[in-house]
Amino acid sequence: MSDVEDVPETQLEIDDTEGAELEDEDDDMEQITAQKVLEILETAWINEMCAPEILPSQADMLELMVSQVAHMEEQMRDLDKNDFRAVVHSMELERVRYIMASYLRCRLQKIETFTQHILNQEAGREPDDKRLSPEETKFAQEFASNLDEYFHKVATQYMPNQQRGEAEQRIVTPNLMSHVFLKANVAVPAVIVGVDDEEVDMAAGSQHIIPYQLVADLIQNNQAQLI
Amino acid sequence: MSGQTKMFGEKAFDLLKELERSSQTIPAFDDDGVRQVLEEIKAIFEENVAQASTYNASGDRSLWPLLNFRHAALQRNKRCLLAYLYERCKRIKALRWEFGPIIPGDIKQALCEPEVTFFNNYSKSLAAYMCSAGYNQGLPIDLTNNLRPPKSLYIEVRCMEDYGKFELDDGEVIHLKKNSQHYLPRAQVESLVRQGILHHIA
Amino acid sequence: MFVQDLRNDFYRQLVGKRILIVVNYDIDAICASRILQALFKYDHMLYTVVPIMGVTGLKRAYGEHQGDVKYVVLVNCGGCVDIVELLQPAEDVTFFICDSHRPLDVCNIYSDRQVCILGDASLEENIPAFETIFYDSDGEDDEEDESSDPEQQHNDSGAGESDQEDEAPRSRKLSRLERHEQRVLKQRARRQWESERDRIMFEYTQFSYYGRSAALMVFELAWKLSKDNMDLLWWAIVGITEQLLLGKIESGSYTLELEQIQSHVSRLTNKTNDQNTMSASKITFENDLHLVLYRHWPVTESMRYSRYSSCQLKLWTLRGEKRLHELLLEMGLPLVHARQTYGAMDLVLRKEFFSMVERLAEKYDIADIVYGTFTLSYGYRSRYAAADYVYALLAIMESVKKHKTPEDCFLEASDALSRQHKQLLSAGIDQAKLLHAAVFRQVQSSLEARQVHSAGSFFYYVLQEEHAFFSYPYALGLLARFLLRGHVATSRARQAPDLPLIASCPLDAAEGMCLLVGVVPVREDSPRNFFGKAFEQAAQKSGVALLQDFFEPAVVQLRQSDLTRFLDALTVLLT
Repeated sequence: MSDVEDVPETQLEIDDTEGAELEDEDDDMEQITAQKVLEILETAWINEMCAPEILPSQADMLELMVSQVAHMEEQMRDLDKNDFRAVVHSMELERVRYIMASYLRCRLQKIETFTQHILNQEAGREPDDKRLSPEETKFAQEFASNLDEYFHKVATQYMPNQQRGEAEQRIVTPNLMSHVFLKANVAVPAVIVGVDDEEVDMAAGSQHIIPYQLVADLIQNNQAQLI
Repeated sequence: MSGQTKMFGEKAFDLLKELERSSQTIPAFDDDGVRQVLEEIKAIFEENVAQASTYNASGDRSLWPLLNFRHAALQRNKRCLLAYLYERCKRIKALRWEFGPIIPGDIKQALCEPEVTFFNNYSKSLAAYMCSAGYNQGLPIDLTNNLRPPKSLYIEVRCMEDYGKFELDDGEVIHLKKNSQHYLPRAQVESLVRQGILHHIA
Repeated sequence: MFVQDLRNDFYRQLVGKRILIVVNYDIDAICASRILQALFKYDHMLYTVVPIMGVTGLKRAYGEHQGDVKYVVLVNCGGCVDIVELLQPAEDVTFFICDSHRPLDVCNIYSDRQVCILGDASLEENIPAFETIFYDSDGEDDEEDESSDPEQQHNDSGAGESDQEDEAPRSRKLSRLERHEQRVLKQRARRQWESERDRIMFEYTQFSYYGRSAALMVFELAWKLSKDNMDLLWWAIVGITEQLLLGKIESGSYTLELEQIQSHVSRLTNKTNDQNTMSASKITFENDLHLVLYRHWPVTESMRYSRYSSCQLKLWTLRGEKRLHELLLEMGLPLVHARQTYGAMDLVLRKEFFSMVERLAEKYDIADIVYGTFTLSYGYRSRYAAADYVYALLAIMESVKKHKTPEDCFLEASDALSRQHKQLLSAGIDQAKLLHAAVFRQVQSSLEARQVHSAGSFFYYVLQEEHAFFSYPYALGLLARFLLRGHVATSRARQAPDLPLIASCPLDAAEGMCLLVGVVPVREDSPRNFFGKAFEQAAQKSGVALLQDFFEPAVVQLRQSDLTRFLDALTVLLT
């Protein structure tokens, strides 16, 4: 949480010289401004930090941002180092870089904690629904086998046969019922809260504390965001 | 029964307590303790196996609680042992983030052989991940940088040991010598700060 | 070359460059460097700060960073040595010197580009005119090499003659006699000029003294850049207060600066008025007492350990002690209160303390105990006089121990200036108390044992053993000044107030070196100190190897075994 609060509102200011629109390589994809990309990333980052489980990866947006950052760096190089604008711009870049790194780190941390759980879930998902990027999947698998190997070498191989298995007992799962702070982006009628089917209408911009699992779908649909 | 004065699972619990108490860095791997716990598990298991066969043969119900009790003790031992290892794993992972791909010599001594392997494998897959995280731009993102939200572009640092020359991105060469004080770009010196060569003056 | 417009000719030149800041070991320098660092930070300029002690330190520090930096700022060091000659810098390196030591080296003054001295040339005294000290070598193609350097002034006729012999074959065509005559005439004129130059240079370098506080100068730069704030101003105040307390400047010139500082104080106070709550930091000008750290000490202790009050009342004697009690009685300050820490004293007494002392100052012959100074208050409890800061920092700076190098001490002192590190300052104040108590005890025992000896034209005092406090220049200086005043106060000799004192203390038993400090006579208000030059000449005469490494010329090191021979030579020289 504190990480989130420490970063001031980020506003990526695009230099006039580089054009405000970032064109994607795919022609069929609609044009999207760098500003928008950053907004999406920021939301994704905050959601990721607050949500107990791992959320769908924003690899596409990240990729766009990486190239945008590289592009801006290129532009910065021509700018006088002591220009006031240069200072502001490079500060901005630092912030963007931090958000990206922090976002990825946060995901890695979840992957490391809930490795087996996440892998099991992923295995059951359609390719389009996968939450991990291919790189993350690879990392998760490596990590899982690495950890197993370590346990095996140090301990489990010395244990009596029947005790070696039970790996499924060791799976760490996130507590999906933990409470989260949330803000509705749009008006969402009739959200079921509590066990006895109690319903609440969320007005746009309203804020709530609620167990995560009940609103997980709202977050994925971007109807609400965590704060 | 193994030992009159000792309760089941005591040793395993000790392992955990010890690790918990030495909070910051990693204490030496308790080879002896781990072995003892493993032996205890084995002993309990063998007793259980022996009695379970009697139980099966005679159907003596009075043995049932004892068997259950032993099994619970065994489970607990195992759980403690794995918790011990898992916690160590966590700390080893933290090492990678703190010191980079090479473990400092004094800490390395505290690790056992499989732990070093674990570290190396972890380090490798993390590095591979970071390389690929730049996607097709070919720009690896160093996730171990930018650990803290940036407050300013430059920071004031004090040099804690003789480091020698340090070159910045723009070609400036800084001579880092003990007790000198510098004002440098944060992003570029962050790793030195983390290694303790530079000290960030608030 | 003097640079007067600091904003355009100094700061603007540096913007965006990488800078090496070399700082001498004194408080004024620390304050100045802190202000400079704050300025550079605002403009995102990369810098490196290196603390140095003495000329060798300067050389080493420059050597380490040579090639990497093009702009070097020297704070309170380097002004009095020929920088170009000493460091042999590359052509494109520029030095900015912000040094309060005087006299400045003439080569630095007349350097046309590479060395820039921050300050106003018109404020400097008696700088020898260029023609009087630098020989115009244009028409003198044959004697070029011995012309320009005044350091080689003792380079006597020997070199000149060998020059002539080299020239001999060329001039053979002319009548030898004529030629010879010409040369003799020219040489005579030259000799005359040289001896005149020597005289001028001697007059110029005879006394060492101090100019404006470096911290104050840099603060004014900050002001002109509109980047000044309370903290920077406070540091400047600490800088100049150090000069006053260590007797580096006359109280007159201090008073002159006060007015200027007061206007800064009221300007900055008004500027921050909107957030002026009780807890905000505030600088106030007020008349205060020349009593060391009295806000952090019992009154009796502070009176006893302060040089001025102690010497006027002779507090190391029984009679003095009685007189102190008399004074306290007349002030209406009960002993119970006077003996506990000032902060724990009754509030009414605390509020009246200043006026009580002031009222009786005349009667007890301690009129000069009142002086104008500034206090800094922040929060509800912390209130410090500028002098408290100075004494605390001094104590920190010389608190060298086995595991604590001088550099550590320097950095700690520099940290203690920031308000965030209050605990460092408090520790410094405690350390300073120990130091002052030690000074007093040393003075007491030395006076009782009559260890201050007269050599006719000066007093000398020799400590035989290494000392935890006095093996460091500033502490030894404090001791020497206290001792001299105390000795004069008890001495019956009429000329005693006119005599200076030399104090010496072994530095390092293993190496057999000792530290020598010369302080000016009591009656002399001007802090001009002739010992620098005198030490140099006495060393020459007696053939003693002298290490004049410090930037304070009146502080030198020499072998302990040479001490007697050196003092003898000095006696001869000064009578």
